[in-house]
Amino acid sequence: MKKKTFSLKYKILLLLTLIPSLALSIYVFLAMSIFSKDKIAYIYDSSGNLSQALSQQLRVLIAGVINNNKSVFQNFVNSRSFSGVSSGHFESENGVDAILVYDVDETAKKISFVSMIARDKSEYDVFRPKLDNQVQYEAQHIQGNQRILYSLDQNDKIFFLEKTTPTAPGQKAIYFVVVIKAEEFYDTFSSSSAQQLFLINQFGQVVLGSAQVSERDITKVYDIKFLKNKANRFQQGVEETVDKNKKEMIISFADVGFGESYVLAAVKKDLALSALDQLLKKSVIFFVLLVAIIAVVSLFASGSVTNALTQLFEATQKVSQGQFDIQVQVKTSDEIGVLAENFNLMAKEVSRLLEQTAENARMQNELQTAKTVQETLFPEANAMIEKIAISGFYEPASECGGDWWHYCKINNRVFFWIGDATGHGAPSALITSAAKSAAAIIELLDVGPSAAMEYLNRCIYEVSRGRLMMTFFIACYDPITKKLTYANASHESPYLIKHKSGPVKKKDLIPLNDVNNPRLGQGRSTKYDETTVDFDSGDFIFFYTDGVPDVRSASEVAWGEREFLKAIVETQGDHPSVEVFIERFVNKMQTYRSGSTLVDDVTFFGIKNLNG
Amino acid sequence: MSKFELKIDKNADAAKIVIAGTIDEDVDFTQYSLTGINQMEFDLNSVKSINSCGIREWIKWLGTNSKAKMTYINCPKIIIDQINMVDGFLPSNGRVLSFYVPYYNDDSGTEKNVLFRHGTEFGEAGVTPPGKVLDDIGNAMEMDVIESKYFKFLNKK
Repeated sequence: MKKKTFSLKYKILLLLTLIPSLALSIYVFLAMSIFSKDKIAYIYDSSGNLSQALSQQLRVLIAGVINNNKSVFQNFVNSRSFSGVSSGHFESENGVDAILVYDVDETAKKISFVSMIARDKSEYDVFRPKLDNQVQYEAQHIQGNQRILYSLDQNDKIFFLEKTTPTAPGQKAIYFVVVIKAEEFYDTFSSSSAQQLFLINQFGQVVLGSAQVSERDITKVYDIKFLKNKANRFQQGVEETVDKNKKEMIISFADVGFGESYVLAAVKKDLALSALDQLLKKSVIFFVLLVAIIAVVSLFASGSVTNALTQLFEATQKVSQGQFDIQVQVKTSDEIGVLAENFNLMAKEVSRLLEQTAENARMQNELQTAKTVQETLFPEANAMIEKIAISGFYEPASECGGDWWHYCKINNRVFFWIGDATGHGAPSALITSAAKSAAAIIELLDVGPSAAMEYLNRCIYEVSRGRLMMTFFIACYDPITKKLTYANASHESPYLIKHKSGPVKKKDLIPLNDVNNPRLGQGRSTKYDETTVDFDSGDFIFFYTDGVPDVRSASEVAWGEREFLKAIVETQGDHPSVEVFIERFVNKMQTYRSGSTLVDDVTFFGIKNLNG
Repeated sequence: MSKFELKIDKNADAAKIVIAGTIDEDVDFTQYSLTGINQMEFDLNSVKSINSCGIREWIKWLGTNSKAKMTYINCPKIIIDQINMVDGFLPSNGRVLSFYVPYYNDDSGTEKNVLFRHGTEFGEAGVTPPGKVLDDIGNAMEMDVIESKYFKFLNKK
């Protein structure tokens, strides 16, 4: 038997885990890719919206401040002082923390502080140097009414310069430093969140910004492309860049619409995509768990399939070694279950057939032995007793037969026995054996055919109890009286052919049927009659069983009584010796039979009186 | 092998029983009760064969109502052979009312079964065969039995 190499179990396991693993991997890759793109697009969108919203709010705030204080500026230009009205207006305007006024000689680039109104003037005494410097800077470097936002470096305070144009040559310009208290924006910009928010002016200086970033020059914090080239300064946009630590950043920007100031929203790319990382990690965990579950399920599934196949494999190995008394324990009702059931049936059937074959062989041996034993029950085929020539033939339809014939001498009388048990084969052979045993005892008694028949009947009845019966014919020749006495137990009547000259004809056949009684074994105490006929010198009697006329040809046609009687008449035609008669008769019968199987046992014998 | 068939047509305490086919060890007569029938007529015209086991079952079956009067009609040769050979095949209170006698012409090989009826071809006085039996082409036919053996059963009564 071929040995297995790579187990089917592992092949199925590999198949069941590899295919879903591969499919899951492709799915996770595609899902992550799509999700990553979608997430980045979302971050771009939300970051841009945030910066745009803040820039709009700032624009509204600053525009409001300017519009609300235009009357204050105009009033101061006219009166060179803050009037009571201006002061009242300032007090009611919460958005502005202070307004400082400078005279600026734009030609000489000199500035001089003029006045101020502030919520806390002492505070601005401290701030003055910084504000002076910034005004000085603008006087020197910033032309026209360009508005620039600055940080006062005091948390929520930002400021810008509102310039007036001199009305006459040589007249000084008035610069109003407007300090705005942007508390809400400060909180928004400085609070730590995923997004770092910055309000920057056109120089890239941080006006309001995240408390996490101390650097005030945004270009030193991020490598921002749109600041480097004025041509790239769109109203709003998003770009990916790196910070000073070379960490990837996503930065959105929106123009505030006031002095080229921008609101920046910066977020670390890995932080922005942390959800993606989380998803990826969870997906990997889920993937591993799923593969593990699939592997375990596959293990059980392949196990349930291959266990049955393994059992079948082992069973076939045992069968190949000649062990058939095996049963595969498979409880599934699928194809493998059916296969196992069929295998069990096949093994059981093979086992049964083997046992049957062994039993048949044993029975055959026993039948052969029985046949050998039964053959001893029959006499020599040819004999001469008291000048009675005897010749017979016997052939059973199977190993053992139900026919029996016999002859013997009892006190100078010659007895002839022929019988036919019901059916044929071993059961009938047992009855013939009983008949032979009884005959052996009867031979010791000095009785006639009828008494012998009654003894035989008692014996057969006791043996078979009515289940098997036997036809029987007993004849007894007395050489002194030259008479033949016979009794019949429903057996085929023998034919007597009296000696005569000339050919024998059918009408010369004399059936010995003057007496007839029930078969042996039919009743326990059946009485049998006997009668006597002359059996003179040269007379011939043919005894037979009903199997003889029932011999079949090759085409299954029975020989029949007509042909049977014809064969007797023809064979006896020239009055041959009894041995020759039997030989000729056998030849005729075998010619007709042409080797076909017997349907019943065939027994016949002839006797001829040679007493002078 | 011909299938065994048995039909019982009961009329009061009488019954006509028609049997056909093969009577052998496979026939179960116990399913056909004869109880309560006093007069039985067996039509055996279509019985094709009978073996020794069939004879045993037949005798056993008739023995279940041995007091009834039994008549056999249309008996083929195989039945007459058994009646002659097996004591008890025709019960002691049974009678054959009609039976077939085979005829044969040795020259042409033709065969014919002639029905002998009680009161016509046979009776208490013996057998009175038809004067001449001819085959289909007019050949004279002979009785194809040994008369002393075939008509033996008629001497029993």
